[in-house]
Amino acid sequence: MTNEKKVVVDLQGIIKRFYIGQPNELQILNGMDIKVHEGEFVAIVGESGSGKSTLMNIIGALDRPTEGSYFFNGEDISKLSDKKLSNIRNKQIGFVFQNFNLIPRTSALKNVEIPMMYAGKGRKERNTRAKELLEIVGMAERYDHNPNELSGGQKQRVAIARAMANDPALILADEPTGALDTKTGRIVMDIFHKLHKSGKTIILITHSPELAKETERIITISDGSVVSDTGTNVQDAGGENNDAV
Amino acid sequence: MMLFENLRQAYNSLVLNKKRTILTMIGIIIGLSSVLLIVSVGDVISNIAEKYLINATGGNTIYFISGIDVDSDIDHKPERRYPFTEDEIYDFIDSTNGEILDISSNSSVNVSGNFMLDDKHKSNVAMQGVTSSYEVTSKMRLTNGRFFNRNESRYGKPVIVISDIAAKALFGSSADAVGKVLDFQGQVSVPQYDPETYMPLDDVVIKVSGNVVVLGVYEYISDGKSADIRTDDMETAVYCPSQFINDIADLEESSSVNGFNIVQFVPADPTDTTTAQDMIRNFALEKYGSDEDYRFTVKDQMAMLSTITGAVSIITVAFIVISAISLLVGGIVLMNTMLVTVTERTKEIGIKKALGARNSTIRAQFLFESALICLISCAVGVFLGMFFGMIIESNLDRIISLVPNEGIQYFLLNSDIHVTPSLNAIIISTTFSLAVGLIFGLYPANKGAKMQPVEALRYE
Ligand SMILES: Nc1ncnc2c1ncn2[C@@H]1O[C@H](COP(=O)(O)OP(=O)(O)OP(=O)(O)O)[C@@H](O)[C@H]1O
Ligand SMILES: [Mg+2]
Repeated sequence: MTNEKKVVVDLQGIIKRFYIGQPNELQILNGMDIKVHEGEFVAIVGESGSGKSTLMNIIGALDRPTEGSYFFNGEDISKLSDKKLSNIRNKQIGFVFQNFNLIPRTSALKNVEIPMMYAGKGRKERNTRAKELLEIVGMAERYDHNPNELSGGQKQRVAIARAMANDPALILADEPTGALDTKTGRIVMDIFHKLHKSGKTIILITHSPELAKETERIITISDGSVVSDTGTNVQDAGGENNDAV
Repeated sequence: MMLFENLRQAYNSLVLNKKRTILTMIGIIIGLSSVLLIVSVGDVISNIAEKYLINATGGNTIYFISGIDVDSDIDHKPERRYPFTEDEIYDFIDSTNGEILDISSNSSVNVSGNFMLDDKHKSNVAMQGVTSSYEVTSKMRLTNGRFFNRNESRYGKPVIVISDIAAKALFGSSADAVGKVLDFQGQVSVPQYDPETYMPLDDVVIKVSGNVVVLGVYEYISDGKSADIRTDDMETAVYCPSQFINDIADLEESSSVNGFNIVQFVPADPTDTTTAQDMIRNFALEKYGSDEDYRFTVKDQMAMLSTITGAVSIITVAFIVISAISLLVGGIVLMNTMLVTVTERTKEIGIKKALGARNSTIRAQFLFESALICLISCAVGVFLGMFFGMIIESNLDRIISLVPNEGIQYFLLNSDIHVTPSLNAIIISTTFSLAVGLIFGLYPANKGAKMQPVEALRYE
């Protein structure tokens, strides 16, 4: 069964090198081509050090590829300015990190409000939406707690609510259950399923084969190259991305 | 809304690192309160200038300082003194054919107490000691009788001039007052200065009483311009020869124990004092001119003023340099603190960038924090500046003795100086503090703003 969907992430020949003092350069990603369509739930797996997080940072517009093109929602963003990239991170991408990365000394509610603040949303709107999101992840009662008063699972739920703040096109999660026990990890994973059902595009990096199997598609990475891709059951909508280069 | 968030975060950060914040602030506070002080001192000097320029229209006195040339002998203390006796001075004045009216009495000595005609008619006023020239310099208008003359002034005759208000209270009318005798009882508070160092000593309070004859009645004008600037708060002052107070209080005139070294002459023509000045120069050279080391100063009030402004500005410049350095040090401390803060919060910067914070958002956040540190310091600095101003005011004599010029020390000691930071000073120092916050905060804030999101996020 195939259906046509917009391409959200389109990586074409992405190479990433790190320069650790000349002349030593380290090539971590060796020309990757990956396409993720709207509404897909993709798991990226691979052994430690294979370059998953490096790839993730590029997909998340946190880092620029050394070579190659990256089309995000049809736009080549591999050479964009800092300001434009931060705009994309703010409105189009939601991050969930392994170590939660909540802003310290700032309440759960404020944490969720921050991306909306950067987006220039009004006080009332921010407040209402943040409370709604915390409700969705089951943290409504804890909205005025600071991160140091929350358990790991609770922190991660707040982080997911925060990732959803500006209703992004893509949610990126780098080992979101890595610091949680199985039971708590389960709760977090269920939230991702819920988001996926509501139509969100999600890319999940995980070490757990069980969790990977729950997704629609598994991309396996080794030494900076894609070694297997269980494939997608959708086709590109239109052709603009393919024609662009 | 971003403003409020910045304020919240800055406050959080300052409270989180209380000790560091306070130490940083101390640096800036010291710098700021010294800037404030400098500006205040500058204000004080221009106030003195203003005051004396106004005063000089009433009477332009000529300063004669024997033994020191204030223009070239800064920091020079003569090996020996070159005094003139009172008799020599008065004989000289007599020989000027009226070019010089009298010496000016600068004594702040006055008698406060009761003047009475009989039990029913008393007036509680202050008796101010002046010289005969006061009639001219104060532009006072006599309605009845006359002011005391130079000889009465010189020999301290028991004669007084009272205001028409006092005359009415005591005698019923101004005409009835002239020639009448009054009893008085009161006390004299004599400020004491060490004649060598001009350091202040404790006031001496002496009880006095006696009889005085009313020579004349002057018209009291309540706008204060008719009265001498130092006595305008003593509503209707009674004037007597200052020598009279010296006599009844049995004071040894501190400056004339060995004769005068500093004399203020009152010229007949306040607008052109050149002739009188030449006469004073000849007078000085006549006595000590054969001595090669002899130096002296003859300057009228205007010239003296600019000399003072010059001498005081040496101190001011020194202070400005010191305060500029301390402000610089404060700024560097601030910069260091902010660098530490930015480094400590690298991870937070990374998170914020991941959430979509722009470089400018991060920069604004840290600039806000450093500006807040400076503004709080500024508030404390203004408070301290006022406090130091009060301390300086009450120790002004000691500070003036630092002025490297004996003649000017004398002049300043006889001026009524108030050191309070003006609104002007507060505005300037607030601006300064904000500038320090922004200038020294910019580098750390930029460092934070320019961090690469990935590297910031990886920071442990
Ligand atoms: N900034 C950098 N400078 C130099 N080398 C780097 C840098 N970032 C990552 N690397 C290297 O790139 C390789 C891949 O790192 P990456 O974090 O992408 O691995 P990963 O697949 O996420 O591993 P893990 O599963 O342990 O998180 C590693 O060998 C790492 O040392
Ligand atoms: Mg990783």
